[in-house]
Amino acid sequence: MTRYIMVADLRRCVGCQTCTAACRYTNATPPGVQWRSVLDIESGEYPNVSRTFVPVGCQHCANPPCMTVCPTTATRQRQDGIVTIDYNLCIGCGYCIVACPYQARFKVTKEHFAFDGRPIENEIVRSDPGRMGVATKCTYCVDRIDEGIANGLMPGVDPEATPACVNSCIAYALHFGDADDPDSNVSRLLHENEQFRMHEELGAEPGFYYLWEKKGD
Amino acid sequence: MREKPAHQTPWDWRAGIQFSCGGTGTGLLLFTAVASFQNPAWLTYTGWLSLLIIAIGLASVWIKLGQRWRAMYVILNPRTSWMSREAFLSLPLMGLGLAAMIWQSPLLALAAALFGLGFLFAQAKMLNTSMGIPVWREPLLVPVIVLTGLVEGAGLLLAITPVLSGAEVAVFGDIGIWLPITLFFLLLLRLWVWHSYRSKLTQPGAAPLAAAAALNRINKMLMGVGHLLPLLALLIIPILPIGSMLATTVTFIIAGLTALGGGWQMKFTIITRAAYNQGFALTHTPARTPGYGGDGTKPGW
Repeated sequence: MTRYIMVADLRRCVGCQTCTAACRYTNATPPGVQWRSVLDIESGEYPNVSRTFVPVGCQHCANPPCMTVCPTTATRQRQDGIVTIDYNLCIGCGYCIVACPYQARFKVTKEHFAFDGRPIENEIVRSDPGRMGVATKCTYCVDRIDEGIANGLMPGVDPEATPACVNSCIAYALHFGDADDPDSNVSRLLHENEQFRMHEELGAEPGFYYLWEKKGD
Repeated sequence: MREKPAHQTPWDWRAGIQFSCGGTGTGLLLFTAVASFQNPAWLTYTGWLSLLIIAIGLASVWIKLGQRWRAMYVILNPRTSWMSREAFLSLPLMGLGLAAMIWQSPLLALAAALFGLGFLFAQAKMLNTSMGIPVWREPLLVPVIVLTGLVEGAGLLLAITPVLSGAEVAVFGDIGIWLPITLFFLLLLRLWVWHSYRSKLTQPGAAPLAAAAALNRINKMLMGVGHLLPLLALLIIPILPIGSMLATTVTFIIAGLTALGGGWQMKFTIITRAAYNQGFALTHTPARTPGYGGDGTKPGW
């Protein structure tokens, strides 16, 4: 079996938002819609404070609450764990948006663009009118993955088969790969480092891991 | 700060209307069906009204859809989705309800009312399975929504009763006894469940601080005007002078409308003002160079 996951190394992320920009460029999401974004979280009390940059987005949960509530079966889960939305079936009821504990889903009802109200080059190519009035979210760049695999490439290793945000990361903080393959990059990272998943207590089994310390340190 | 829980926005005032009308309409239908066994004329009056209220709720769901003309797809996932189940139940509910009103059949009305109860339960579960909203996923929300629907229905029927007293329905003789008693006990139950629900969610760490504050803000008004006032009004009914129509009328209207208003205030608050999402949290902060990993953080909780 294959289980695609993402790993974010919190020690490395510098909050540059290049992944956010890469995602928006690749998927031509409208203003206000960020399938990938990076939070800037300050914690602690002076003088013991820390600042953590946290990439967030759809966690492609193993037990996705968005999928069970979806009344139309538009939200589905592939064999490889990627959670998808069929824009032709979605009715835009918003149930999945309130069911997602990761604020990963968006709905816009009117097409608009950031620059001068007109689409720029990538938006002309990548904008999809089918995304109006329906739920949208990070797809793990599923089309790149599928095309890459069809061409014999390895997701998470070959850039042509890897999500745009991971490719763009300047600090090697974001990683993508198959958690069921013990030799994959992500399996190695999870084996060597202390990690957690966000809101794990809710039981959604997210497929997004955060590394925070080397094991044994 | 985006990491803190924020108001959910996709389910706005239209969802508030959906849930308010769903509860009030199905509650009213249930008590109308019961009353119609004593006098089928109730179906002519409050029966139609209950169906109209439910229809307004369904219409408000429809206008909040992003793709309205695909609305029928809503029935495609009854296996796991409570929204699909709600939609499925609305079909026999409205069908049997209309048949009951047209043929003035108390039995059909009762059958519609039972589907109405299922519809109301589905609405409660719909909120409860929304894992992203802490005040909705609390299990006590289900009895809160179901009970308030029944209170609202009984309250509205009680408030309407004196208005219809001049019509062909022999109102006070029909339901003047059992409806106030039923409403009294339903109000007591709703008070208890609301108190338990709010107490649980206002414990430290049980819900976002802003959500708990929103629940606390309405508590005094809800307890006083939404519960104690109608309870007191219902308590004084037996001691009103016999034959005092005006006093009874005013008491019925006050008790009914305040019980109904309390329910709507409660639901609008739960669905809109207290509906903060989960926000973001870290179990640990990362180890930097030099340094070690630290404690986690959960902003806004």
